[in-house]
Amino acid sequence: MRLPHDFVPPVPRTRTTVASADGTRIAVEVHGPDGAPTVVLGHGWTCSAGFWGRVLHRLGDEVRAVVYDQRGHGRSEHVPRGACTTDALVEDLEAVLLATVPDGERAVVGGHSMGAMALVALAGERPAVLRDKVCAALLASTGVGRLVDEARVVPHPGPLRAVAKAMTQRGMSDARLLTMLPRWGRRVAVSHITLSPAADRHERAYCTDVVLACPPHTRAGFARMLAGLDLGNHLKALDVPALVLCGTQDRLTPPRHSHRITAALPQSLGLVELSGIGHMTPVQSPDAVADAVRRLVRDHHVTAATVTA
Amino acid sequence: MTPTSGGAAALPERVHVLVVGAGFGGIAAAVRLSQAGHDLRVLEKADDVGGTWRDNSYPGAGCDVQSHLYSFSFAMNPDWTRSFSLQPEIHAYLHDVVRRFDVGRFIRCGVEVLGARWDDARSVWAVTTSAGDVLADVLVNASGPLSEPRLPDGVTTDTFTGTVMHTARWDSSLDLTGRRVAVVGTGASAIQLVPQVAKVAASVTVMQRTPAWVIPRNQHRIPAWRRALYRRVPAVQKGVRGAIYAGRELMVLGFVGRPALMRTVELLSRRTMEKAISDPHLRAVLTPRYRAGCKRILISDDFYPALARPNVEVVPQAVTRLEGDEVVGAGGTRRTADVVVFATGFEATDLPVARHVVGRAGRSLADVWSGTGMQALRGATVTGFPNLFFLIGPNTGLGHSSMVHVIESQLAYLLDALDLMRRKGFDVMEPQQRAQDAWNADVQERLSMTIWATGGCSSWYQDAQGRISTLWPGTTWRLRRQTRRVDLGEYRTARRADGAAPAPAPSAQPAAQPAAEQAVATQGGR
Ligand SMILES: Cc1cc2nc3c(=O)[nH]c(=O)nc-3n(C[C@H](O)[C@H](O)[C@H](O)COP(=O)(O)OP(=O)(O)OC[C@H]3O[C@@H](n4cnc5c(N)ncnc54)[C@H](O)[C@@H]3O)c2cc1C
Repeated sequence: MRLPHDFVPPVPRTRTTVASADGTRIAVEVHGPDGAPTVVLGHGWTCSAGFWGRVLHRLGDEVRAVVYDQRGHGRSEHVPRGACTTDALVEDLEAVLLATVPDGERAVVGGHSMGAMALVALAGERPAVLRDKVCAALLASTGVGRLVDEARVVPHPGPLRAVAKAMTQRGMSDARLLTMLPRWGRRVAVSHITLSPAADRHERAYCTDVVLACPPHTRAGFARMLAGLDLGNHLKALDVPALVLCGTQDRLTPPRHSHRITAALPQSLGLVELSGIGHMTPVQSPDAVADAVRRLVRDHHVTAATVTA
Repeated sequence: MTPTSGGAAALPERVHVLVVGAGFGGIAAAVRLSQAGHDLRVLEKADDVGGTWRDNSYPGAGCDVQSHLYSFSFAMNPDWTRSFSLQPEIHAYLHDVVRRFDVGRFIRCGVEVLGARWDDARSVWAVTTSAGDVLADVLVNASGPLSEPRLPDGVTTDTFTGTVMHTARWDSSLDLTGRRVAVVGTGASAIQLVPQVAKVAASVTVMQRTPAWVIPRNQHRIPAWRRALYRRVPAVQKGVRGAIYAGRELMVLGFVGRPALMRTVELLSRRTMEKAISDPHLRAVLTPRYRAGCKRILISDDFYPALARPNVEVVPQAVTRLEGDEVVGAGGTRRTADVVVFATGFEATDLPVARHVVGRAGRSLADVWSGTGMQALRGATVTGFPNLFFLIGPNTGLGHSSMVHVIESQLAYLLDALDLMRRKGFDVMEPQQRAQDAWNADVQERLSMTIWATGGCSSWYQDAQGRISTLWPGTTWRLRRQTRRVDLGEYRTARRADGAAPAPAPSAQPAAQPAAEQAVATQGGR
């Protein structure tokens, strides 16, 4: 299938790698002109920097967008399962922010799913980095804990809850399960889990390919991390203006996560609920995500000049 | 590399047949014409024979048609070590042919043909060379359709601080280990080069203007026992050659007859890509948006895997300029590089020799062709240019099979013409305008239905006006049939006005050939 043009990410103006605290090399792309407001975007579990492609096309030259591959994903260095931890994600994001946000500027930082979790965790563990480098946050399709409990991947009629939960956990973390399915089976599975029924065939094909491109051991490693995630206490540390966004048909991180987050944030700008949309909001609703980024840049971005003035 | 096997032939004042260029075409001409007892000289501007296979020595360079077929019918080589030979082996093969048929004595290397003017009064070609002037009754252009490197239009390189190279002018002393290399282009040369460079370079940036459809090459080594078998029983190798030939002729169906068949190629290409590249973003960048076959279909086993390497990046933009230590793409993208390799092909539709060959009316070929595009009768002769013959002339290129087959077809045509001259006693032959026009009208009409015209791409097959003047729209078998004999009805023939004696008889009698080789039929068939 030939994907429409905007699924092909724009060509990054520059590509670099930054070294994380443990030496892992993180691949970073910079889009848009120097001097434009910096926006740093972190993708979610099993995705890659190119996942932001549709959003980047819409943002064009309005911003200087920094996108990076989470460890083990895309062009970043592959790591053993044991190195797939929340702490590592924090260190990776920290390294990217320090290397790409110019001195004095504070960037709008957005994350989708696991990318947003990294930002919440960073707020709790690196308050100085948050203060110096981040002016506003976008938390898209994410949660801070109880992910397996609340996922609606497997339908769970009352008494079978425990079974559904076990299946979800198993399905997420089994390295081979997905690859064992036939092509159509993978597409059905990935579409069911990550998209809503409203998704078109391009979005289904694309998301399937993105998820399958993720090395199985990375997928499994982070699945374990996600299952044990509990960042509830860190939300209050995310003390910057923050916008929350989610799809109403999200099965992986259903809207109740976003409701809770919005309520707990110290400087919440509210919740954008996208009706009929699934988990992959940057793919299914690139316009809404780009608008959210624009809004944060317009209202909250701090340039070097603003600071010194 | 083998020492130059040709090169010392003296330059006479006058020669019956003068051949320009000593690649596959010029070497074959030397063999076949000398066997037929014609007086000839081959002039080669470089200091070695081999043409394409002397010049294209970049890492990974090789042929895209199986060597069993991409070689002379009259000089099969049982010793090919791979199904698709690499450049050193093909170059060595050509040296070997020169030696086996002892044609080095007709070839003069290091002499460039600078110009040729038809002298109507004396009915000869007055040829200017870097080693003096020569008169020739018949001029044969074998200077190669793909021998003049092409750089992309308008790309400025003068402020670049690194090294710039073209694949066809490779500097083998340059070590790419640990360097940052940018390769411009994703055509036939680039896909051979990139996998080799990616193994050693620190980084490789591939600048891609238009992606290509790539299918597996299925390169394999030919085991020693098979080579021994071919050596002992040449008929077996002939059979293999015939099978390869037939299989390739079938591809014409897709190119010419039913472009829809090309979907199969696309499917195969997609599967190949999916196997090697998991990243959907890279796949999307690499997937062409035109029908397969419109541009040359490329074959490779290692191109896609190379692109998936972490040190390789594909930038889907044309290059606009080189500046400082950077390559600048059409979208303003910049990538640093120590070495930039242009794998951007050749001047296929703007032949340099055309500017230097001046015909009966005092106009150059380039001038005559400037309005109409390259045109000839049967890909061989041109109205207004008596006694000029092409090897690989206009509309004889192939998208599917061996150019050596075409060269041999065109040689048969030339030999028949020379034979007719001798037997019928005329000295000058020139195609009639009407015959040339009819031929071209037919070729263009058949081309209009092919994938090259309808596939939705632009390619080097087309000239500046978008007219396809390089490709043959049909099977090579059909070309062979249509160039088997000269039809004198298509020509105006004449005796030399002053009745002057024609060029002297061959100065050197062709040496006795090994019986087996001499026995090979003129048609070079299978
Ligand atoms: C990288 C590459 C791969 C190829 N692979 C294939 C393949 O797999 N299959 C296939 O069928 N074809 C292939 N080709 C096409 C190839 O060009 C032809 O098959 C064939 O080699 C052409 O032979 P030629 O003798 O006509 O021209 P060339 O090999 O180009 O020889 C022309 C010679 O003429 C000389 N010359 C030019 N001008 C002058 C002058 N003014 N005076 C004196 N000498 C002059 C040149 O120096 C050169 O030596 C390939 C081409 C390239 C570049």
